[in-house]
Amino acid sequence: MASIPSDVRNVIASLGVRGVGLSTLLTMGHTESLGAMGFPIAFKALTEWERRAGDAEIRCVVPMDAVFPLIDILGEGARTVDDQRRANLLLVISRLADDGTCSIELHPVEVKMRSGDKASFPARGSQLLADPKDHLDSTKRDLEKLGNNMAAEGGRLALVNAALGTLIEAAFSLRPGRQPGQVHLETGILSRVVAGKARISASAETLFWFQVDAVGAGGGLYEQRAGGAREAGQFFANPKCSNDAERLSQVGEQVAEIVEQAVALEIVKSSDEDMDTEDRQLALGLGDGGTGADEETSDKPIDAREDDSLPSDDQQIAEKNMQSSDSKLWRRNKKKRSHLVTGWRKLKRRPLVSTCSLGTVHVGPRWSR
Amino acid sequence: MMISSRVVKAAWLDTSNRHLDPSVLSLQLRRATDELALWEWRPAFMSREKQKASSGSIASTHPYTVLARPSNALYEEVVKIL
Repeated sequence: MASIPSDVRNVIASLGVRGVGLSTLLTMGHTESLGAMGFPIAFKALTEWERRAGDAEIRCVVPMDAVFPLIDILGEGARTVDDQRRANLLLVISRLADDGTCSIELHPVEVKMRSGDKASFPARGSQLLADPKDHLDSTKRDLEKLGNNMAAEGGRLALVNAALGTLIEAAFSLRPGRQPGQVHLETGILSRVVAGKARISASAETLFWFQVDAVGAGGGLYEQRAGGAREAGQFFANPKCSNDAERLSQVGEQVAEIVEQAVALEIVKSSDEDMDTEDRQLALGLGDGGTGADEETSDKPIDAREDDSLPSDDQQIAEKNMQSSDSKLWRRNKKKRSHLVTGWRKLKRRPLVSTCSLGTVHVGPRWSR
Repeated sequence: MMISSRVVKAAWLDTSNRHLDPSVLSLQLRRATDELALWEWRPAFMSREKQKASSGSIASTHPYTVLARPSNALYEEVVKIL
């Protein structure tokens, strides 16, 4: 090719700016060129969602390939996800709380880009949507497991906290519109994450389906379908949408709404609830129990929870009567904890240094519990 | 950050780095005259181990970035779609 048009170069370069390496395109299950086009459209469509972040909140879009090794480790115990069968993007919502903690919400997004061999978007329940649904479900299971594992540890494993901090920092670095004024917010969130004061949750997923020359049921260039707890929110669009500023703005609004709806459908309880339950179970000497906790205590800061008074007799009876499924979950989490603690014990024999640029974070024996 | 002429000639470039995020690198590459693009990057603290062997493998690993010169075929296909 004699000379490369600037718009083509921009498409390729824009992938790198968002942290999407060309190797990622090989895992999209279609041709590289179509994959290259799907990501930039997805990023444009998510810009409005990123912009809507609140004052104490940072919203990021992270390519899953780059960060999945860590998610895979922190989600230990979940079924291993094949490289080819996982979501393409991870949306990360980090929010400071007034109680000295922060929340991290993880939301998987699958991006599909298809050629113009069909004139309309796939219908709801179409077999064409089965494959992306499988990718999203498998990734969601890993994120659920990650949330449960972190909750079970209660922020006590410094090395694991530092690893999570690296993930969040990588997410921060990939924001194209990074504002210097947000450094304080970023630092605040990172410091709470590495201090084990983060509540991790995973939410229902979203599918982006871009199809060349296709239209929706009503003849429109885009179509959205709200999801549920067990079904991904779906957004279908003709790539032409990204060429027109006004239409792109409409798409951004629709995408922001559908993602925010999906994020609201939290599928893993925030870790403070689980930590609270665990602390109370340990205090009571109970071997089994569930993950539920009353709302009153869940809002308290982590430090304060350690001094909570013991629950009433009624609460103890209720905990002893937890369903058997909860008991199984507890036992699985207990096994998981033993894995992580074993790993930690191996690692604490030597001081380690994480590369979280919040400042070099030294993690070693003197930090151990 | 400077992209040296030696980098421009390379078809593949594997670089270990610290605190160099792929966004900054890609912005710089876009301004440069060569056609190198981000192929893959991994931040630190990411084990490259399989899950089965990873119960104790949350360990500090060096971050790295791989740059590559995309094939003409890729550019030609993107032109067709655009």
